[in-house]
Amino acid sequence: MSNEEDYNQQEIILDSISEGVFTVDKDWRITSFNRAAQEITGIAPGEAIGKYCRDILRADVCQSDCTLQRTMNTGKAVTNNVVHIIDADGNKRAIAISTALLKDKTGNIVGGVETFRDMSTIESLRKEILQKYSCEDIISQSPKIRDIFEVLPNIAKSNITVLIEGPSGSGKELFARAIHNLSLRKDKPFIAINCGALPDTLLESELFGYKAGAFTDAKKDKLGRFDLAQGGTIFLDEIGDISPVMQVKLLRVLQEKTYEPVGAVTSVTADVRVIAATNKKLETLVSQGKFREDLYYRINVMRIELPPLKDRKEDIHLLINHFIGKFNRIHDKNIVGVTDEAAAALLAYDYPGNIRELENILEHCFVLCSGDIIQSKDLPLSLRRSSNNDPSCASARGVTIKQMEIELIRLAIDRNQGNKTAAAKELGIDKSTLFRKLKSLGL
Amino acid sequence: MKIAISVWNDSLSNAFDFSTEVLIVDIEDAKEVARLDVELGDSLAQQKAKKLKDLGVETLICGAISREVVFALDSLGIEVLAYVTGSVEQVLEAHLNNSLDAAKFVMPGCWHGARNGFGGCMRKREKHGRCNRTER
Repeated sequence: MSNEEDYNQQEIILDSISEGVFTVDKDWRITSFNRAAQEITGIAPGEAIGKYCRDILRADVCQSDCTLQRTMNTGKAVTNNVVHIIDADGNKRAIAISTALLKDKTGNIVGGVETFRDMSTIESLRKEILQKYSCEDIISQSPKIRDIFEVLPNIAKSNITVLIEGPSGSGKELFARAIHNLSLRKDKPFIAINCGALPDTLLESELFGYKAGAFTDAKKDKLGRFDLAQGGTIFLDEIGDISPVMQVKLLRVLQEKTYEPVGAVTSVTADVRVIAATNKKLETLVSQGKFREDLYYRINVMRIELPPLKDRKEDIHLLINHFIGKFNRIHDKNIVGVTDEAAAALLAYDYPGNIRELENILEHCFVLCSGDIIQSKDLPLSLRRSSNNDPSCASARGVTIKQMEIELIRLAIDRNQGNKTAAAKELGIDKSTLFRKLKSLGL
Repeated sequence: MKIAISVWNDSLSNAFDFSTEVLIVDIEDAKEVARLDVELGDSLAQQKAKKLKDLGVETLICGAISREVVFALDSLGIEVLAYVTGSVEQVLEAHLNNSLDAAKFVMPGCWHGARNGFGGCMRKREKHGRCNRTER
């Protein structure tokens, strides 16, 4: 077969495949460009050949972390790296690229080859699903939360005081931020403070600031959180934990829109939207006389109640995917999901710490996971214990401590593929203690 | 007037949407009077457009650019001379000499309307078979 025939045959093969393919020489100039590459980029082979590949592909990585250059430098192929390009229609498209070295018959490197496939349909579907179930940074398909999504823009624009009630870790601050970001105050500061974390005197100077000489060590004026939030939003977390004295001071800010920094003789006008949150039932605190009724009604203009995660388990899969994406970026990993067994354990758990706990559990898994999929063994021990095959459930069946101990040890050894040292470590006992127990329990 | 050139090393950046740096050039009577490198960072393209506006830029010269960014720049009154390739110095000189429509500065694969700012050059290029939109 002549060289020309050989070349024509190669061209026919390349044009018949659905993935875009182009090759470059050592100077990064395109030497071949197949039909699918033309369809994806919108650039004809006649225009592309001889040009620098960066001027044809126009990808976000071309000038920061060129995949082809990485392959040329290291000799290692790269597969399915998702990047964005600008096509000839002026659209931004997502493509998955793979690169490899191009060698001649004697094995000398003569350039590189890049194959790519269009991901824009997959990405637009993914975005559509995410958009359907998200509002700002909050993701949910739970009817309760989606009802909140619907009213959130109107609440945000209204400028009224909002009370967010929900257990710890249910995303109260995230909702407060979403209200701020959707409001006309979005370009001004969002200031958050945990009122329950500070004693009275400190909380007062943190909220309202102080003047020089107001107390010992107050050498110069200090701005308070209300000053910092001027024009924007202040988020008062754990409002149910503040003292009666502070309740009076806050009431004045909400009623008169003014406050005095500690040691000041004049009032400052507060142009600040207040969003308060608590993990307690304020109404109950009012009936118990622990929270001022007038302040409660000032805060409770609009109330948002966030359900605990155990009441919105339909969100667990969405949240798992969201956190996997987040931690892949943070930990530079490429984990694609969780096994069915691990997912079942994650779904069965009650999450007393709510979404924050789920996030922490997944970060724990990321640290331990050595493959590309999270398995049951990567889950924290507490979670594995709570799953159905765990001996702690056996208590309901009236089994003895000895039987539970046998089951616990057996499961630990199974999980560690018979490695007794690892099983002992997991159980939190010394290796010799485990051997002694194995002997005494007849295992 | 002030122009901005989207740069990468000594060349024009291949896509303004992904570029992080511009060279701002102050021009008076078709001569360069001052220049300044400005880092745009990884901010959103729309934010970059706003930053250019704040810097007083009237014209942007760049490589490929998406429609949404052109609209953002257009709404801020910034003229866009897009799909330009070449070295920064040569491109700047060509702009000052009003010869940026020369074939060597044309990046292939531009969408209809993306090079409107070049005046009659589109007609010239189409006549010469360059910068034609590929049938898809």
